[in-house]
Amino acid sequence: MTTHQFEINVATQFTRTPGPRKKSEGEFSGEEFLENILLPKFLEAQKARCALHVNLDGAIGYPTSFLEEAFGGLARTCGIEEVKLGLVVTCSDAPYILERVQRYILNANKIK
Amino acid sequence: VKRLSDLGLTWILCGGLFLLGLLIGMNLPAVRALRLSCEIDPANVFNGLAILAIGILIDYRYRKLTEAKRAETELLLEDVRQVKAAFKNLCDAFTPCKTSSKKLDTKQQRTLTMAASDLEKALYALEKGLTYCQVNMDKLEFEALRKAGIDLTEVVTYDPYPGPYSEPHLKRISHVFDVFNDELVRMPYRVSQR
Repeated sequence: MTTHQFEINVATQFTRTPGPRKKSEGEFSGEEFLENILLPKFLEAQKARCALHVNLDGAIGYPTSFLEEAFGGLARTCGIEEVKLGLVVTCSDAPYILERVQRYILNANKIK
Repeated sequence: VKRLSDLGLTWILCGGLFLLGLLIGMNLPAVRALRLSCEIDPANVFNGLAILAIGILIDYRYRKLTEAKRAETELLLEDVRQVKAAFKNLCDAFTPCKTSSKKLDTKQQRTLTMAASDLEKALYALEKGLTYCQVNMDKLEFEALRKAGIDLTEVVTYDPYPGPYSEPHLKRISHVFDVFNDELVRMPYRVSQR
């Protein structure tokens, strides 16, 4: 199973300066990222029975609200198990982010 | 230990061991009768030299280990200082959340996000350093600092980010700052005493 065609680099394809949770709160929000990039690409990868690879390197940092809205939101929309199996997140800049993202996916239904 | 070595006491100790080896090597009845023999047996000289060599080797090895540990401690303390500096930056970046009743502007949001990210990176660098130096993490209670750090970097950009922050929110976030600070101030002592 290849992930090359289903890959998102947040810094180059979205922004280096991720913003707040909702679109109404500011630009480059988690909601905007989920709706415009993450969810369509994830569904595309699911259709092709491939995993989606999301690379978080290159950004100045990720607000918690952004990460929760994007990845927790994806799990709320597509299902926790589907996201656990179909999403590969990497970040060599700040490895602690990965365990946070994993937690937001697992706890997606407890948040909202 | 270094001071003793600098004073040349190590060499005195080694010389003493050499003489002791010579004496023991000489015939025991003569020693018992408190008589000293002036004869020099090559085997006894060899014996003394062997003890001297062992003494020098032990001293050399001990000094190497002590120097390596001191250098490692210095590097780890530098990593702790980096965490402290990052923590201070995060405190500064969070100040507008406490003093303003408005939403953070874009610049303030980015400064806060970057400061939280820098603290996380500094903590990770410290963790890598401790692992590389094979420090006992349990003895150092690093996990408590790590957990407090992740909690802190998480809470400062969680809802109601980007603000405005209510009093109950600020109180809760302030508590997380305090928990991290408590763990952080202990870390240099724990590293020094490891």
